[in-house]
Amino acid sequence: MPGRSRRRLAFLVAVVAALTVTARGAEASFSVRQGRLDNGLEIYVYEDATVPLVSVSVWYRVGSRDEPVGRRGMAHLMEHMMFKGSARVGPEEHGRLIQEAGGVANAFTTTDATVYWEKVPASQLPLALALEAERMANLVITPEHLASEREVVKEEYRLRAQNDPIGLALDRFHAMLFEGTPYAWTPAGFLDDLDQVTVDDLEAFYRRYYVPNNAVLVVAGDTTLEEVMSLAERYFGPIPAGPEPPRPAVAFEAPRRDAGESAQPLGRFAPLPMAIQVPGILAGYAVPGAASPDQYPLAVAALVLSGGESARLHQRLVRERQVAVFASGGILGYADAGALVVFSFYLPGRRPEEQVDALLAEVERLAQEPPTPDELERARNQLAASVAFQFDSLDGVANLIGSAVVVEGGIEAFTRGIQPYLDVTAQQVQEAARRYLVRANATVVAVVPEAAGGPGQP
Amino acid sequence: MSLSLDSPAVILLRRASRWMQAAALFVALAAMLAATAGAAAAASAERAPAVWLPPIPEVARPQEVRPVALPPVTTFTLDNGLEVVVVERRDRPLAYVLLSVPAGAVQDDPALPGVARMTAAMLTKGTAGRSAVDIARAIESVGGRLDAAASAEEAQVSAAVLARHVPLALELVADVVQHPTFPAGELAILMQQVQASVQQQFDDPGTLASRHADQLLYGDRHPLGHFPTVDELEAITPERLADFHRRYYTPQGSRLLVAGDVEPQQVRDLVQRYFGGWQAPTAARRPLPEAVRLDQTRVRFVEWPGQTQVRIELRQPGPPATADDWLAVSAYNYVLGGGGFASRLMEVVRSRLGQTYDVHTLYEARAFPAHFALSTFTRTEEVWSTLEVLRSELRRFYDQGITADELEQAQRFFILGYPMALETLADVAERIDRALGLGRGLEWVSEYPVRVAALTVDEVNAAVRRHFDPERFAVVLLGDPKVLESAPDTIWGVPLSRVQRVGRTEVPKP
Repeated sequence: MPGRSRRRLAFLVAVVAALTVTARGAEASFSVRQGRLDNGLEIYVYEDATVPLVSVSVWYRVGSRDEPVGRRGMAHLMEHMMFKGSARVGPEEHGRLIQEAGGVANAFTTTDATVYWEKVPASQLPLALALEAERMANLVITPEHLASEREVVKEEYRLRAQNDPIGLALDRFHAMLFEGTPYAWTPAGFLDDLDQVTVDDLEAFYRRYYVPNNAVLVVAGDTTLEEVMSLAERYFGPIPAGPEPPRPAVAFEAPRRDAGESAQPLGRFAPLPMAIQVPGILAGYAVPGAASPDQYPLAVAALVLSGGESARLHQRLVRERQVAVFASGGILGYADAGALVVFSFYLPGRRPEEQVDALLAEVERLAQEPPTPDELERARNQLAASVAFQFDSLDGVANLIGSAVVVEGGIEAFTRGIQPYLDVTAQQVQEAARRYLVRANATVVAVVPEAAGGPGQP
Repeated sequence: MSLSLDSPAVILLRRASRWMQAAALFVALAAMLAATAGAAAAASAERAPAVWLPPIPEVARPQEVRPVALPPVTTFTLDNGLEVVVVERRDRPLAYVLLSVPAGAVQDDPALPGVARMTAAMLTKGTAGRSAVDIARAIESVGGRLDAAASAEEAQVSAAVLARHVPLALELVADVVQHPTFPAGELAILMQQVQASVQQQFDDPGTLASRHADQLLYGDRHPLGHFPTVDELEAITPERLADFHRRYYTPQGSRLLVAGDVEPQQVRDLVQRYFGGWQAPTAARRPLPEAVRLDQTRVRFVEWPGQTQVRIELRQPGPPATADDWLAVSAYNYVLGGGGFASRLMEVVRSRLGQTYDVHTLYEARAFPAHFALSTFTRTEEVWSTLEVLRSELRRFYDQGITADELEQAQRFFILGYPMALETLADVAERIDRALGLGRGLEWVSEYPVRVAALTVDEVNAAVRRHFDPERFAVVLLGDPKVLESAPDTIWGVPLSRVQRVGRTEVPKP
């Protein structure tokens, strides 16, 4: 096939080889090429010429965890202001130029990072890099743009946090689970705080964090490291490094307890009455951050619990006991802390306490009943297949790389590939369950219908 | 590396922890408005740049537009009439199987809505040789996915697997489509899930406003207008599902697409083995729906106390995706509200006025005449002024049409961005399947850029005149009813006394 990337093909063959349970020692590591500019900008390039596209992303090491008191939500507001232009680029023109070139542009803010990305035809790589460099160096923040964009961001807040039961439940969940740490608030922030943010606040935030030595450039697609380095030198090279931005580690110790006692009290529980028809439970156990080696057995545990309809939560709660209509879960992984999260929806009329107990009991059963050989093989194959499908999308690969470097402790988190997951044993899953998945470590938010006739009922 | 399976749960968690510049769904459509960008650039050109950087490259114009080269495609038809399409995309070890059967909701007896969708959903819940658990284990053990669902036109069963599991994928798809048994116990479990999802319509303001708008335009007996209720689920029995299956799941009229790292000859053998014995009499099918009429504007207010925003949904009839001028329609929609930050509505309502986070428009692409939709929301106190702005922008759009510049921006995006539409295996497979499903040939997919390049302003503005009506809409507002106290005398020209008011969990049966 013309244009096929040998590197990528070799990797995928390795993944497939790793699928057979007998091929346990098979290599499944991923390769990426890297460079660095003198001003500190880190560069990672994944070369794949299968389609004539490139995915470009700039990851800044700043997120909601870096917001000061009284300015919660500022990182996300800053992200919006990054589209409002410079002396050479008009408001929202960045996106329009990219789209005119046949690409798309967007950005997102998490607790740990703010990420700006473009996907463009490979021939438009210079345009994407020039525009990213321009807003890294020359953004102009005006009171008029702040005034209108603040309202846009508040609309997003109302949409996703205020008027959406799931958004509200997640906010409450973070506040309880990560109480006392910067993970206790989400990138949504608070409406009152958003109103307080000034042009000066944003200027200072921009100058402190939006410097090349605090950024990571990831390019995946039909290009080479040599081409990217040469273009990056041209467009980002003139931008001076700034002082190293502060990044205090989030002091959060995931509890380590033994599941010896059977009748441990629940960690934290909050009923959240809302005007909803279908109640739900959101529960989570604090686990270490994404750079911890414990993430591997915990990821396998999450798959055994919720990797499809043959997984434990669906089998037990939806099919056998028929107490829930939906039950699933996954890992929320932040740099310095995380949570194994499970949730269920159930038909009105049942007691939330019964739901909580059924859900948590199924999670905690992993400590007594480790994965069977079948369950473990299924989890491994699901991991391998999901990675193969993720590599079918350039954004998917670029995300894996950026997240490894900025959130998971370094590029090795990417290049190690899936082998650490494939190496996880049933005993390691059981040990992780005993350590982390115990009742006293659980935080639960129960979204329950408001009493009939209460506020919100028509 | 943190890995995840894209289960609904994980998608939801990831989405919930990401705050974005733009809503993800529509950002893929955008182009530049030269006039507004110029004005905006002037407004911010007060300060000299802090760092001198090289000039920003000009966006290159599309050169000599040519058809795209598709992967090799082999087609053949089994003796029983099943049409088979094999798409060889060999550069990734993946495969995608998609079976489309003309057994969508348009085949439902209007007195028994929901049967077509439930029949499709029950296919994977048990066959003559496999239980629901057997099926889930079989596909999940190899890391694959198997889904079955029905739309208005079709029922579709799809499987995504690593390429070496194509035999298993074809065997499972063949089994669930030919030999489902609709076990009563499984139906009871699924029914609870469906009941919950029907009720969850009322927990999501966006979904609820959309359902009301569709119903207001189409009425309840049209597959796109039907508003599902818990009550109607009671009429669904295993016998009714089996009967629907017997009647409409036939190889004649169905299409099987197999795409990825596959050998056509191997696929042919496998398809013959698993689908060759599929026999069923040709069904007498109901015709696709006719166009609906909207003689005057209708307004419905859905009362949801406590909401801090008002949802705004507009609908009006639109052409089928098979229309000769469909590309002209796509082009003007892109300029009006389908083009993200380059669209006129986004520029005015979000970028200039800060009244919303998202406003977008679309033409629903169906094999039958469907609709135009405009969706947005705004903080409660702004709703009346937002409606006025929308109304005047729609009027201006109709009166003036689009400019040559605007068309060129749209063409650039569609042409230069076409490789993005064909990036992943699923992208390619679904694009080809969709074209075939609409009765277009493969050349529709390959020649798309050439057709877009040939569009003229006159053609596009003629399409505006033909299909777009600046006045008549089905209008749904959803929010706290207190806002009606500050309402003007008329909403979109309809006197307040004629505005239909419905409670949050009420389903009007027109």
